[in-house]
Amino acid sequence: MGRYIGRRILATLPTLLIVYTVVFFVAHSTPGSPWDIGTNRPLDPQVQANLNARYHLNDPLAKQYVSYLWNALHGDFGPSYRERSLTVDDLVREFLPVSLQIGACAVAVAVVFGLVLGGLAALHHGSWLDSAVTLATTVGISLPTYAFVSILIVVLGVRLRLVPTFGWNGLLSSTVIVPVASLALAPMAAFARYFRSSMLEIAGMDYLRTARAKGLGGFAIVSRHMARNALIPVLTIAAVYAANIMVGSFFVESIAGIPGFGRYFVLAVQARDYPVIIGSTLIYAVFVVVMNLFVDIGYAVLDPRIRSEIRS
Amino acid sequence: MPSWRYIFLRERFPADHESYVRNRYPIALGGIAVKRIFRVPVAVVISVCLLLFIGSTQDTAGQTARTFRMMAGEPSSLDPNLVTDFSTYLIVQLFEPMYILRTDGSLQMLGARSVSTSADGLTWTFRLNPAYKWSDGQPVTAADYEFSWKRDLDPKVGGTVSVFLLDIKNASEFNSGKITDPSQVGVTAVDNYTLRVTLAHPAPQFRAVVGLPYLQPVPKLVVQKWGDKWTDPSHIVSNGPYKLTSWQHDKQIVLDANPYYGGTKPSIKHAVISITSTDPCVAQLRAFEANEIDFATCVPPQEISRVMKDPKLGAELKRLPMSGTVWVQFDNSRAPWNDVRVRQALAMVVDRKAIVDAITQGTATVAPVLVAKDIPGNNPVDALHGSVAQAKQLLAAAGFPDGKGFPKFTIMASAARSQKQIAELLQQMWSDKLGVSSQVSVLEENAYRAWIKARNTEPYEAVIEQWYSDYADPQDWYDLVWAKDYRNIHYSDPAFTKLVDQGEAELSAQKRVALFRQANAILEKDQPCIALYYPADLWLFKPYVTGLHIDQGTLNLYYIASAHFTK
Repeated sequence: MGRYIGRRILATLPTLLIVYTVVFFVAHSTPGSPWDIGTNRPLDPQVQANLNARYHLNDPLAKQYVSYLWNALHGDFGPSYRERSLTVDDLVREFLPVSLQIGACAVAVAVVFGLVLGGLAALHHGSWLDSAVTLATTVGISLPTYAFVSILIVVLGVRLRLVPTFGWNGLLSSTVIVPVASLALAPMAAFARYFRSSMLEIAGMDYLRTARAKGLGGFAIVSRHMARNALIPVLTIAAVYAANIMVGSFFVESIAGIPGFGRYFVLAVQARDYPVIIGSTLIYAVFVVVMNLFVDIGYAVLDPRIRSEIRS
Repeated sequence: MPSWRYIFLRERFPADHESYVRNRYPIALGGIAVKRIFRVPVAVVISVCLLLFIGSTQDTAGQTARTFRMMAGEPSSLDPNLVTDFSTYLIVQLFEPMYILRTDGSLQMLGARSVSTSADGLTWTFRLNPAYKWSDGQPVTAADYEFSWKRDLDPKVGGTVSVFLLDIKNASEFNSGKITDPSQVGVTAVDNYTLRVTLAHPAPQFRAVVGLPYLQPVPKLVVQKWGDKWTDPSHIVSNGPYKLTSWQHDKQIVLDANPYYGGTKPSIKHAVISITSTDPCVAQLRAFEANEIDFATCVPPQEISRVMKDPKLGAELKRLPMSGTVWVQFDNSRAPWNDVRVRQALAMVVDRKAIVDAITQGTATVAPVLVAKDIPGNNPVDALHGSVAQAKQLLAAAGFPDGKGFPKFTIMASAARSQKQIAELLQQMWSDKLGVSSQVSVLEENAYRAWIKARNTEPYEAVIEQWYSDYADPQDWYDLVWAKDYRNIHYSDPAFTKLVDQGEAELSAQKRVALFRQANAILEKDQPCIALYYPADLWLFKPYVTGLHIDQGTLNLYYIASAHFTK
């Protein structure tokens, strides 16, 4: 198992290099420069030349590519052009933990509520509960995150004054409600749907009948025999959602005023802040890779057939 | 029920009735009936909710009457020498220039006591006010100003502020690297409180430039000691009414009154500025309605009519006209835009009031002429008037009767500032009234700026643009926009250029205005761009806050120091 994980990690390095190359060249070929934002006058060519020289943007692209990669391998992802007193490392250190906290909380909420709802819907197949859950999950998947965040803030914050309309005061304050609820909605709906349909697929299987004949009660059968099999497709999509959510959502963080890392994906592109664009994309790529690895390990944990396949 | 539900059939019937009842009927948990299996999860959920509730009572926005709360975007820097973008609005709370130019042209002295010019207009002497001190107690000296203005020009620092000081002797040479010795630049600290500036050529607009926030001083010793990190809250010192207590990036900025401030001590001692990274107008309106901030600096366009009609919010709204113009410009160097009759015809059929109502819900002002109202030289009498019939005649005279043969052209717009809607309205007006067809093309903001810059050499047809006054002087408009062609309009009229050059060098204020008025008449006749409207800022104040806006001319800056709470 350990060798399997080791081989998987090694195999991700070429992927990360390709991601870096693509992002680097796409970012640098986008029209527009990092410097003339928000000013009335067009940027004086001399000022532009001074700034480009200071940040080495006049060097040939290949040289910038290699030098950035070399620095990145030593942990230095460069300065931010948009916030002149910060570096990418400062941004990651200050803001990624907030996004991770919110993301992990949202994933946990989505998993718990999604599985419970999906399971209940499957077990009460054909009843009003099943229809209600199906309807709710359709709404949950189709409602865009930014719409839901705005609705929550206006209803809970402005009208009912239950939560502040912006800001982040930690996980144990009321500011956690809006971001976690809006981030968890779509994955919760998706998990419920997937779990419900795979439970229904498994429900008619013969081994359930055997378990019942052996004397196992209802809940034991559901948790030990049905759920473990039904979880496999859910685990697959859970990885995708988890990577997406944990690295921070631009909409939720911007609209709810959360100081997280997800905002920088869009803010950096708008500002042509190349180091932050490349740094944040690489972090996201690492997340995706790590989540995929967890999924594979999860398969091995859940399904003994896969476990023996890996061992051989 | 579905066939596999049998797994849930209970066969165990206990012998005694009591255990059967206890197993069969739900267990009460805090008055809520739940099945036994859900005891633990429900208990967990209830306790988490309680924790959150307790936690929430601790963070109701600390509403002491003494804290001034507002919201802004994250400033790119708090260093006055570096930036000219919206960070300036926060920088002016911390730093103060030598003086501020009032709307009527007079000076409100702050860091300086007096300013005098030599007869030839080349030497300016500033005497500083010794009462002004940095927030660490050190006096603000002429050496600080000399150091700051030279740092503004230093190519290694790369500040965008340098463009405002290029009238100074040897400034552009130093800024471009032709000379590397800063002592040759014409800024000298004669003694502790006297600064002498030598210009390269007479430049009357320098009087307005010195009052700009970009020429605020920075503390020489602090900057030399800490370098790039001098704006950290633990190092920064400022000469204005407030000092920076803390700056949590992208979260909030806290200001406290500067105990050593040399001017009138502010009434508000403590201010918290929350930072938003989304559309600041939307976030501010929500927070304002939820009573989380005391002051909002803008209203999202789609909410303007609701806010104006609301009895409470409408009373709290204040409209502040901006010194700027939004217009549509053409590439005056190409056909058919080089024909003045074409431009005049297109100008005559534009319904400016309809644009103002549709785009800004009536909060902006119709612009009869191109130059902003408060700039000397502006003369609404010069406005071009004409009926649709006259416009048609002009277009026919230019060779396009009823718009036939007129090439279909592209109106470029940025995705920001409702420019797309403006372009679509113009497209419709021109098509309906003149039979001229066009298409609208939209670019993302940063790509739009790059595209405009490339129009220096690349051709184009029409684009929605604007210009805001940097300072209240005609040179900022007539010279920079049309003579030096900062917007790539490619307009050239020898009479106009001659008048502008004369006006620039003219030292007598009256003669200067007269020259620029003549230039204005030519400009309006030629219509290189079609003026649309003068935009306005929309501010929201809580009723217990007054005095935020002071008379300081072109930039709609707000000064927390001049505000006070009226409870």
